[in-house]
Amino acid sequence: MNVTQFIQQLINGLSQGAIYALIAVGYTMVYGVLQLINFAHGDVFMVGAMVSLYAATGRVAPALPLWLHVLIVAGFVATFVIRLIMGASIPETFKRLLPLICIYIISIPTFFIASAISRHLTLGSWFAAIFVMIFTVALCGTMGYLIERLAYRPLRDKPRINSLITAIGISLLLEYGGQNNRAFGPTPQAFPDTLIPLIGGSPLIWHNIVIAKVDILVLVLTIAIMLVLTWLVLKTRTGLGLRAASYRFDTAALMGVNIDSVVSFTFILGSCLAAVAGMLWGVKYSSANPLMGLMPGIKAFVAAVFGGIGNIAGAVLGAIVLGLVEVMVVGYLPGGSQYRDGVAFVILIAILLVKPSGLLGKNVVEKV
Amino acid sequence: MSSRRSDILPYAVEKRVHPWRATLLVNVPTIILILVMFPLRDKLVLYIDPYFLRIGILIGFNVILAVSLQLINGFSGQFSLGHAGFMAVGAYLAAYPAINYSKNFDDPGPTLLFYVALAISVGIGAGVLWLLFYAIRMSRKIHKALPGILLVALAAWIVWDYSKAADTAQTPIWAVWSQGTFLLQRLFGAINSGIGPAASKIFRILPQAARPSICFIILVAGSGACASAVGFIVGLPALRLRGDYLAIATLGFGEIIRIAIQNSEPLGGALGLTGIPKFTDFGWLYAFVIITIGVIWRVAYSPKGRAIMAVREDEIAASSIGIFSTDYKVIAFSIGAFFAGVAGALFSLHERSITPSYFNVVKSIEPVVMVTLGGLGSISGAIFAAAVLTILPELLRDISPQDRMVFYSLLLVIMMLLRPQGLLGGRELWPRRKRYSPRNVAPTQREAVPA
Repeated sequence: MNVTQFIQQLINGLSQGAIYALIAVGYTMVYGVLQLINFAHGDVFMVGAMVSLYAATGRVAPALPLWLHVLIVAGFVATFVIRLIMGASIPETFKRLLPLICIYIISIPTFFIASAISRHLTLGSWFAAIFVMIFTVALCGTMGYLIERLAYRPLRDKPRINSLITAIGISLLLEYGGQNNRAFGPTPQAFPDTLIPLIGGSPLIWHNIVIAKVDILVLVLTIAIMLVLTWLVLKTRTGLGLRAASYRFDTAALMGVNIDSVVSFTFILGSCLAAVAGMLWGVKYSSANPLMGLMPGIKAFVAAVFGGIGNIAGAVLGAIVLGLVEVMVVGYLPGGSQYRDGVAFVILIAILLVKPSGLLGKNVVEKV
Repeated sequence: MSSRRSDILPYAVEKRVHPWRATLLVNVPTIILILVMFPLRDKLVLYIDPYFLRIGILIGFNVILAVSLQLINGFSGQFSLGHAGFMAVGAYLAAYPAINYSKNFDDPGPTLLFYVALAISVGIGAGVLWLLFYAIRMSRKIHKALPGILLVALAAWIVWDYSKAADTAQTPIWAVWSQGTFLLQRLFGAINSGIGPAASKIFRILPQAARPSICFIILVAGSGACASAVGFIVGLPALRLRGDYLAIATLGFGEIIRIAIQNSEPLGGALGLTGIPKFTDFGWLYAFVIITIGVIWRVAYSPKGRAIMAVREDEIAASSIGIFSTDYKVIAFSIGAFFAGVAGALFSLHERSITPSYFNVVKSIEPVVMVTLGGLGSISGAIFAAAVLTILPELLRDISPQDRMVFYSLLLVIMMLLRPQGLLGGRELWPRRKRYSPRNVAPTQREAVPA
């Protein structure tokens, strides 16, 4: 064991852990607020990678297919009719559906314009990188909102296992839907690793330590995002609502926190971070496929549990530790690469048995 | 003892038979079904289209998995996401002896010895674990030293094991481990050397025609017992956790089992085992399906089952009236794992080849979906949902082969939104037998029951 090799592994592990951290934050925030394991989160990450790949290679569809338009409009009409029959007033129903209608209407020109722009992108320019990022983040954020609104909100007062099964259903839907030839297709696709400027070309070499420029980008971006996130959670009113809701859900509602918007905000934020993680993952590993969300998703969840679920700093810490341990096991143990996926679960079991609340989690005493 | 028999005894008194005969009588429908179906098993399948037969067999596997998981998830309320791990244990521990010791199912001796050897090695491990947990239960302070004790024990064992292995200077420790430890090597070496042939001689007293069936039953029951032991070892620490944490822990254990198999050379590594002799057919499979349903039913609706359900409803209240909640949870977990292992064994002896990647997270999630969709706490619901969720993708295959799994997952979400309590919602499709409950027995007769 020499120092150069160790530092090399350290950098690889940090970069790996940083991507896990971006995903894990989404898990931990949702769990903190709703006590729900959002199994679909790993697949939102996958959609982020795939969509940024499609946007970068100019394959964004100009419009949703006709049957989907018909289905959406029919859904709106049906909801209206059912709610009116149930005795709700027209303005109230309209107010409830307004966000969904807005998303639908905005999506029509957005897809058209995004498709036109993405067809004329030059890879490696700042414009292309920023456009792809904004488009991916917006799409995944919307998707996160829709998943919460349509699949989880109706079940919020039901037993948690139902939400869990729904989450599994959504996860399967995204995986199988993504493998469909009309969406992404089942085969892994090459990700354009020249998407972001300045990171192409030969890696930096310093005292025999090879530092890929992607790793620097990943670390810098993750740190920046975490700073923004800290500000968002600690200094803004929405963040205050989020913290209140994760402390006591019902009491927060009684204190005037708009629970629905807090939960939506949590999902949107988590999905945006997952989208960024997906894009970075694609750039780092130069490949994307519809099943790529499964393992990173589960590992990020392990990281969240490891750090103490519901605790954002804990999720980041857990993710970094997980990434480091994984890379070290592969690097230093003979035949360790075969145990790469097992490491996360061994860590999980160990932490659950020794300190179930996680590294930074608080012990909750159950009262009768 | 009296509480366990309270179901049977009034019936025994009513019919004026010995309790053992009463037990037999109570299970008459099950026994008749098996006896009637069994001779017909080869005749029946001749008239069925192979495609439908295949679906029927898949339904059989799924019913065993779903019903056994119903005991864990539905009745004891412990959310387990690691069923595929136990299935994998069963599948591999049936396939390995089937390939190595009795390719033609003509020699039950070495197969039995294989499980005995496994039982010895697992027994040692389980014994150590039990001692540790007993110590924790007895003394409140010792748990602080537990990680230390475990680590020291593990380190001592590794060093001892490593020092016994041949050529320690050259081989890295991981290579020795993947070959199987020294202890296991000695144990399993004995099967081939001396005891194996001797055991085969003992089984020669059986008629030739009966030996394959005996061998098959030993394989299935043995691997089920192994899965049950693994379930016990996994469950003992994991069941201290609750809710989502337990789900994630069991998911982790399931994955660890799969990855361990993937890296184990004797079990074929990532390529899996091929050339497994085929024995499971429609009749054998459904015999085990009926046994599974029967046993889980008898367990779930027995006094023990009521204790299990009490733990589900409120663990603290249950333990306050003297129910050892951990014990009952572990019992439910082990029984569920046993039948998952049985399903795995039947599966591997049917498919001829198995790979570790088959037993992944998705395979664990499938029975969970069946159980939840059928209604938690309803055995008939689990059976129904297992059948529906096996047939549904096949029906969708006719409509649109490419979109079928998309429809499947959409239907799953919509079902959960529209009917969150599941299809049957905790009730059974057929009414439970009321006849033998103590309330229906006349008071004079109840007094006549020996305590």
